[in-house]
Amino acid sequence: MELFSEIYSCYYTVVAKILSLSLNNPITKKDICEIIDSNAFSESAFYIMPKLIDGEWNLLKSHDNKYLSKLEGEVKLPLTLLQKSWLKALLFDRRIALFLNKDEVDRLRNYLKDVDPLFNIEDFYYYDSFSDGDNYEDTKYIENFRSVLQALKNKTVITITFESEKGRHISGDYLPCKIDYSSKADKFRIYTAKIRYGKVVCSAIINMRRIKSVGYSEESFKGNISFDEYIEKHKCTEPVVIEISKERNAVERCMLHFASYEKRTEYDEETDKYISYIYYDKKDETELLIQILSFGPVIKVLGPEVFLKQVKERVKRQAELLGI
Amino acid sequence: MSEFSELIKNFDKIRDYMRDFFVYGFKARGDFSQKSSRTYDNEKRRIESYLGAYIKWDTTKRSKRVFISLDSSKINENPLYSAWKLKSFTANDIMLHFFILDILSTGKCLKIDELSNCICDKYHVCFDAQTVRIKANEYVKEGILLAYKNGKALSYKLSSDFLNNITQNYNDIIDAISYYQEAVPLGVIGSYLLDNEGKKNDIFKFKHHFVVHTLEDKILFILLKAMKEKRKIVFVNQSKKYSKSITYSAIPLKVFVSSQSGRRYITVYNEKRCRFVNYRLDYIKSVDLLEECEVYDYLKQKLEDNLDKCFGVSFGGNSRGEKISIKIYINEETESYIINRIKREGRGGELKKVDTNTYLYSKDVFDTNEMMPWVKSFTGRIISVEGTSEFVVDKFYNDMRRMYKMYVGGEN
Repeated sequence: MELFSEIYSCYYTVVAKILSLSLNNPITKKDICEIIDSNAFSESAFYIMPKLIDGEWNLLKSHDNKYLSKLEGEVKLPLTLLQKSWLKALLFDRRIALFLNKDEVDRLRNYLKDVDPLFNIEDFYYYDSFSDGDNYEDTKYIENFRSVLQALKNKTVITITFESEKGRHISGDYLPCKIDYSSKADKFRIYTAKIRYGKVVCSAIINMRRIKSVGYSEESFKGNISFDEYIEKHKCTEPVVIEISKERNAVERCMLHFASYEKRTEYDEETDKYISYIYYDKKDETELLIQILSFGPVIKVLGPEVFLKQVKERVKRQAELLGI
Repeated sequence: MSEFSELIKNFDKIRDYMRDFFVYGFKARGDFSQKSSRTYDNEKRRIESYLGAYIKWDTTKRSKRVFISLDSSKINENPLYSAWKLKSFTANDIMLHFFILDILSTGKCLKIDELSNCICDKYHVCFDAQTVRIKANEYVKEGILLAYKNGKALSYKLSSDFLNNITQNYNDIIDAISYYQEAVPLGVIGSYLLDNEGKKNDIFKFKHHFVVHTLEDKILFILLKAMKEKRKIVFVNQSKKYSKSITYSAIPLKVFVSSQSGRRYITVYNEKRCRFVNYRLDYIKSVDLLEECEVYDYLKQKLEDNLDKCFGVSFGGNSRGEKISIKIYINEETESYIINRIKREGRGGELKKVDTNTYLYSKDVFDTNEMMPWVKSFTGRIISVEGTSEFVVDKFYNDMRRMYKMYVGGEN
């Protein structure tokens, strides 16, 4: 059972696509090149094309300047032992109930009875995840999750009633765009567009656990919503700039800690320190602020001014409390 | 000079470069001194090819730097998985792959001679029987083919375990894989499954997501096997602290994962030192399995019994137990969210109200030093810190004085 094997290679996947498309209809070099470009990497075509065309990989036959697959039918890789073993491990994770009902889970466990799970969930200890994660065993939660998931896939607007952070009940018509999972919070949230009279009124992020009900909506939305545009719209206008000193292994700790953010880092020879520019979602500003504070004096915030002001206020308040 | 190829024979080679480009990003060509310039150029070119959209360049006073920059909350699939999907292979490998699958897709069960002849007849490419046998046996190991004893010889058949055969809810399982490929260990296997089904995740996004973990998956894969078989291991560790690699033998028991700092560790029992120790997975260069450990279950239970005293990954120094109490200012009327935050992040510590707007958080742990980053995240509301480790308490107050000087007291 190999994790790193050519059977999972992107090249095999691309060649399978080429062979499938050229099974009955001859295809051109240009077609082959396009399939490679859209399914593999930027230099893949330079390698794959000559091997396929010149016959070192003797899988195609020439036909009037075009190419036909030598195979007799479409081929597909059956599930490998590695894949079955990974799937079996999922069947013991409590979140599987969000996707498969109990009968299906039992049926699959039985089908894979001779396969050892690749890992046990208990082999992993997430020591700093929040303790108030979502309750994946709650039947109402499961029902809501599935309704949202279906609506997202079918691009249908749904009426969601949920409880706000302040305890108010809010109801509206929403088009789910993405389901977000945080391993730190162990929570799902839905990125939605609020729809009224067929138009997007605003965007909203709803915590899955706060949903009271999901129902049919009279509303519909015909347009397209770009999630990337949404992310860009909510991004900070200026990155937070931090100076990282070399003491206490701070550079290494800091680089990994902020690895999930888009960032750029450079070394300043004059100060023998590192400067990092961190780009963040505006709604996560407080979270980033407390993450930076957790490093103490080994990180110094240099800007932007509005962010620096918040740091200074907290440090000043702290000094007053300790009588510094 | 050999021809450049995106494909790689050895995953370890790309692992370090990808990690340096992604996690650090500030290294220039000259900083990669452990290998030759040509190796650097080849690895850089590979990574540029795999991750084109995420590659950024920057020219500083020192030199040109290449780095990987991505917002993990924007991605549908971990782009670093690409390194797993570029294992090198030979012409025979790829031809036999498609020929064998094509012939056996019809449900035939063939002996090696029959299979070899069939390949030669159909595709006019002839392999000797031994080459076909090696490939067929390799595929039996991977679960792609099934081998049946037919007299003295083996006959081979294609496995009928396709995803749409084994489940009655194909779409639901695709949704589950779309989620789990980023949410559980060894998620790249989920990505392999989606590739095979021609599917992509366009439903889920992931916050606080450390895509770099996948680069340690080869090590994790071996460690999980050792844990499943209750075996001892010998492994080579190369931490940033020491320039030399050190080899240890130990008993692997659990994987500690930080969803905040991005680190993963293997918790082992070190028999020589008679104690539990955590080692970072990204520092482990190789692992080999040794004999079965007879007291594995006992050690595992001992570890479980100790977990509530671990705030992070340390099992403490000589004291093997410290106490800490932090007094925190919280405006009860307007800041109940801080109380909730301490409860959910405090890892079982006790929180009690001691005065108006004043709360005391206390906990017994192996190593209070590990708690300090979390404590400092409350900067602005800490009234006092008391603990059995004088070093930790002094360091906290000293840090706060330095912070004051840095931001308020006029330090340049």
